[in-house]
Parts: sequence; structure tokens; C-alpha cells
Amino acid sequence: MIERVVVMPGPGTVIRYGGIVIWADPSASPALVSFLTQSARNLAASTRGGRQIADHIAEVLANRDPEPGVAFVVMGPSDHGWASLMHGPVQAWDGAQWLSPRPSPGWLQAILTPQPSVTVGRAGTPMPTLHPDSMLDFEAGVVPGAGFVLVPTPDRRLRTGRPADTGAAGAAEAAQAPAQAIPAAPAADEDEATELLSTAGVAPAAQPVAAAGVALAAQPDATAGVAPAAQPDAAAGVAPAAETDDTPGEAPATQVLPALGGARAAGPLAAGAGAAPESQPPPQGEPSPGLPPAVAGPGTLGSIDLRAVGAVPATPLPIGVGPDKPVAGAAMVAGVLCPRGHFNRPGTTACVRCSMAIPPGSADNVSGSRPPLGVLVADDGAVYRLDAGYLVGSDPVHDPTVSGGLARPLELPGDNVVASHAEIRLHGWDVTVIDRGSPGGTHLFEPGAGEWTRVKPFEQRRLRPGTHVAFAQRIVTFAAPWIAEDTPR
Amino acid sequence: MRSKIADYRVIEVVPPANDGARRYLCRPPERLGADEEPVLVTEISVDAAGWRPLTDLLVRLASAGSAHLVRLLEVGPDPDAGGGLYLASEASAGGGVADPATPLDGPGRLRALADAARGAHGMHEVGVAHGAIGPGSIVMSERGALLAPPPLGGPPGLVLRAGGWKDVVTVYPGLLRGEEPSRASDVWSLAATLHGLLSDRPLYRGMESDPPVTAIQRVIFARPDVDPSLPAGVAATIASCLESDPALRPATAAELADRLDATEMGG
Ligand SMILES: [Zn+2]
Repeated sequence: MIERVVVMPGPGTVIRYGGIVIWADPSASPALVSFLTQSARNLAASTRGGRQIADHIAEVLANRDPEPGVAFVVMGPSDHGWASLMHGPVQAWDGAQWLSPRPSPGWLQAILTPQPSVTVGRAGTPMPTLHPDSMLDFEAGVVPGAGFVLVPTPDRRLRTGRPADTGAAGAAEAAQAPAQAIPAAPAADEDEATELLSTAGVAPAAQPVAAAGVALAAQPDATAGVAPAAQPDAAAGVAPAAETDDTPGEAPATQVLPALGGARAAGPLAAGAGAAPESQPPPQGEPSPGLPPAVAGPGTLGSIDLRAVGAVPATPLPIGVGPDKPVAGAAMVAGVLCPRGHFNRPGTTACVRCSMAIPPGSADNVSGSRPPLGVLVADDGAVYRLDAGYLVGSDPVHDPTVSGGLARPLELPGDNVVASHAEIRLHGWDVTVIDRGSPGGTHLFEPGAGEWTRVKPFEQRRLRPGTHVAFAQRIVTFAAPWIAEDTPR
Repeated sequence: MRSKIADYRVIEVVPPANDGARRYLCRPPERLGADEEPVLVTEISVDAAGWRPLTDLLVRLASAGSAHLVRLLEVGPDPDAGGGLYLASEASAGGGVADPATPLDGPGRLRALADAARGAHGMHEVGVAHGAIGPGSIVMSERGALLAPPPLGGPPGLVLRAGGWKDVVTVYPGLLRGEEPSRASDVWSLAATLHGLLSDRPLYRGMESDPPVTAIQRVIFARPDVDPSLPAGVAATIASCLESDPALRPATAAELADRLDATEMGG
């Protein structure tokens, strides 16, 4: 369905799974990005995933728009072209016209007919022209980007849509332009292939405009039942037959759409996820026979109804302890293999994972991915896995070492523990500590030693298993299955 | 105390478990269509990068087809708690397996552990290891015993938070060597939990006076020691799960469940 997707460099996030392509501006909350990503993954294989995700989001927005100023666009296939929902200050160019939600904040649902491609990004930013011979192609994942160019496969390109419903909240303006060059600014034109489905102003204050099969949920503050005409399932029921969504029985089991809060029981998509809407009694005082269940209130944007989850692809765990699970990003080190193939520190005589004897000299000096080197046990009982280095301190999160991904934070609040007190590093098979020049200092109490010794600032000291490390008054113990060659035990 | 988590109304705070997460008994929003039946809401501390792996994990857990897992209802953002998440799950009125509302006799405890093992097997089959099975993660319900979801969120690299030796005694030693949880580690923890329910002495001799750090060292370096006063069949089943060679332990939690079903308490 998609020939390729080209990501435009710049701020923001581009998400693509299968037929679903999404752009969100940098102000989108992690919850929103995560929700969009999850939805794209779940609908990746659906032949009408674009319509499903756009309808679903529109329903939620009709209830409440938690992030009204955030620009994002979701796009994907539907039965009649490329369904899209544009939210906030965004623009899309389909080769013939500009689309942009008006007013902004607000949103716009449209079926696009790329001629031959569609370009999406923040409103008011210059859009690049796609070079026909470009080799760039984004197949799947979540990457930074200021927008995208979507090139459908030819069978989707030349489809002609229905006339636009421009009566809906005065939405898009269009411009005739050569297919390869994008005009600098939107201009008006009546003749457009792209079909507008609906637009809406600021939710929930503005009255949403229902058009062409968009299911609009009831306003959150209005008690359910006050506006039966706006009942979501009723709206879904009168949606054009061509775009009706899957019934629960037909929905592929893997098509799980995280329900956006309140829309779960309301929208056809929730049904598509394999869960029939639960019956609720009609609102009091409003006997409404035949009406489907009402949405009682908005959920939170990004919530996922876990009851609606059907079968998802998952690989069962390996039997027993399984093979060594390589630590992501771990260094390559030399070691020995046990008879079952577990990777051990050189000199180990019994496998630390399965206790099988390792005959001396067997499969020695194999190189492998470094396994975890043990744990750090803090004096408050917290145990941290040593499959990465740590920055220990009272506020290590804001140190560039942590924010840059070079070490994990090990938060240890206490008197005289400074924000970034000391580092725990992994070095080959060794665990080392480096004091960051802290006023309170870092002290070691090694196995067999009779007293604490202070580590010189910025000096790297190897830790023997069993060593207690004092960061000012807080104590962390290094515990490891490996017995260092020079460790008396 | 918080009065709301997202649109769930807090009824009461639930006593803390050893994962450090805050839990609340809540009245669910009507949109859940859950008849106002109270649900358990857990605060999950997770940063932006952890959001997706965590929701992926929960979706996989929710897809597990075992009746012996606590039912997961909803996960969503918890903006009032610093950008973390909340997880709504079934609240069980039956109490924890170590402190059940209706007292359990010996065979009842065996059955509860067999149920929990079946729940664990369901998790394993969708690729999730629990990693923290203990008396605090097994709750009683009308469907028998249920295994609660694994600890979620928390600082990166955290294996567990031990408030006392009882939080450590059921931990698989490999986890304290830095290994990832696995089928074998969960099978071990199920057996260690059963031992704790049936015997009045700890699985490791002398552990009852250990501070947490010492208890952790003991689990790493000492071998467990099954109470010989337990009925022989039970003792043998527990011991088989605690073999130092994982190849000698039940291969799956389902196999352990079957063995427990076939085990006599011997009065
Ligand atoms: Zn081995």
C-alpha cells in the first residue's frame, strides 16, 4: 500500500508501522506519542487502519481534547483513499491542495488522494519537494522528524474521491499546483479530489460538527443521555456502509487498538478490538429504547483497555533458565563456556547459571557478550542489577552522564551524599568505583579488611565481591557470583 | 492521600508491598462498566522511554489465557503523579495467600500454589517472567488463587526492594547474581513460597535474624534447606524445584502445578 515514507529532518516524532504513518510535534506528551505508537502498531496490518485510528481519535477529541495545542497527524489506508486526522497547527499537501485544521486548535478528518504523494508537517513551515529518485525510505519504528512524505503504491495514488464537504466549519483551502512543486502558501480552490469528512473547533466548548460518518461522542459535562442524537454508537450506526468497521467476530485477533479512555465502550473500534461494549442501563429519566450504551465520561488520553486485548503475538519463554540473554549494549569480553553453553568469567570452575562443572582449559577464551556482573545491594534493601554502570548520588538523574545514557541513576539520598557522588563502572569482568570528588568521600570496606579506606577522588578502584562501599553515610554492597582470583574466601 | 487517580475515586490506600509501588482501592469510573465494583489501582513510576515497553508488556500479560492471573483492566497515564502510569486491576476480596480471609488448611495451600503456578505458566507462555513471586503476589479469589502482575516500573536496573528477610527468602538466587527472571526462577520462587506457607522455619537456616543485606548474601551463597518435618511428598516436590541444576527442576510452572495436584499432604 505504501511505496515509501520519507522522514523530513527536524523536531518532532515520525511513527510508522505497516500502513499507518504518524507525525507529532515536539510538544506532544510522551503519553500521546506512546498512544499513537501503540495504535499504529496494533493497526499496522489493517487495510482500513487509517480510518479506524482517525475515527477513534475523533471520538475521543469530541469528548475532551487533552492537548489542544499539540500538532499531530495520523494517516493510513481506508476503503477509499488515505484516511487522516489532522490536529492542531499542522498542514498537509496532497499534490493538489493544502489541508489544515481551522480554527486551530481544532482538528480535521479527511480522506486524502495523494497526487502522487502527500507531505505532512507543522503549519507554516516550508515543505521540501520530494526528489523522484530519492532512496530514502522509513519502513517501521519511531524516529525524530519534522514531518513526512508518504508515497503510496500506484493503485492507491490515482483514485478519485468524492466532492468535498467544505461546509463543515470552513476547513481546508486548496490550491492547484504542479504535482512536483509545492506552492509556498495555501490558497483556495473548490475543485478538490480530497474529501473532507469533518472538522471541529475547540473541544468541548465548540459544538462538534458531525459529517460523513464520523462518530462523535457526547460532551463530557453534559450528562449522558441529554443529547441522544450525539450518542457515539448511534452515530456509528448511521455511518456510511462503505466505511463500517469490523464487528467483533470479524476482527483479526491481533488487531488490538488501545481504547482511548472514554471511547472504549462507545466506538466501533472498541468493538474491533474484540470486546463487545458492555451494556449499561439507559440514563435515568431518559428512557431511550434501542439506543446503544452511552459514554458516561471522558477517560484519560492514552489509556488502554486491557480487557479488550485479544491474542497478541508473543514468544513463550525458553524452558528452564534458558540460554544466556545478551545484555543490550554490553561489551565483548573473553570467557569460558560451561558444557551447556553459558558464558562465564575465565577461571570459573562451576557455571554460575547451572552449576555444571567447567573442566579447566575447556572452551577457554571464547569471546562473548558480558553477562551481568552481580548486583549492588543498598542499605535500604534495594537491589540493582550490574548489567550497566550507575551514577550514585542524591540526585543523579540530572547529571549528563545519566541523561546522556552513559550510566543509570542510583538514587541514594542522605546527609553529605551529593547530587552526583560517585560512579560505578563495568570494566571487562570488573566492577569499579570512581569518586566524583565528593566532599563526604567514598570509602571501601573490603572482605577481610579491618577498616574503611577512603578512595582518592577520581581514582578508579576495582571492587572485590563482598566489598561494602560507603558514599558518605550510605552503604552499598557489591555482591557477585564471581569470586575474584585474589579474593580470600 | 490522593482522592483520585485519573478518573478513579480512591476508597482507601492499600498497605504497601515490597515493590515500593503505591496501591489504592478505588471506585472505577462508570465508563469501565464494572458495576462500581472496587478495583485495585497501582501507581507505576516510569519515565517517557519506559512507557511503551511497559504498555506492551501489559498488553501481552492481558492476552495471557489463564484464569489464575489477576485480571488487568486498564493502563493509562497518571499526570498527577509526575508523568507515570496507573494500572487498574481486579481487586480480590479473599486476601493474600499467607493471610487469607478464609483460612486455608494444608491441602488448600497446596491447591493455592498449584493455581498460582498455572497463572505463572500462563505468563510464561506469553513471554513474561514474573520475577517476584512470593506470598505477597498470590491473592485468593472465587476463582481460587490468582497470581498478581509482576512489579512494574521503578528505577532502571532495580531487581527488588527488600524490607526484611521475608522479601528475600523466596527470591531465586540467580536474580541476585544479576540474571533476568525466567521460567526456572519463577518455579523456584513458587516452591520457596510454598515452603514458607507450610513450615514455621525459614528455607535458609538462621535467616530469621538476618537484616536484608545479610539475607541477600545468604541467598546468593547458601543452599536452601527444606524443612524435613514436612510431609515427604511435599518436601520432595519443593526440593525438586530448588535443585542447583535447573535441568533437574520441573521444566515449566505447569509441570509444577501438576505435581502439586498429585502431592498428598499426608495428613
Ligand atoms: Zn551453565
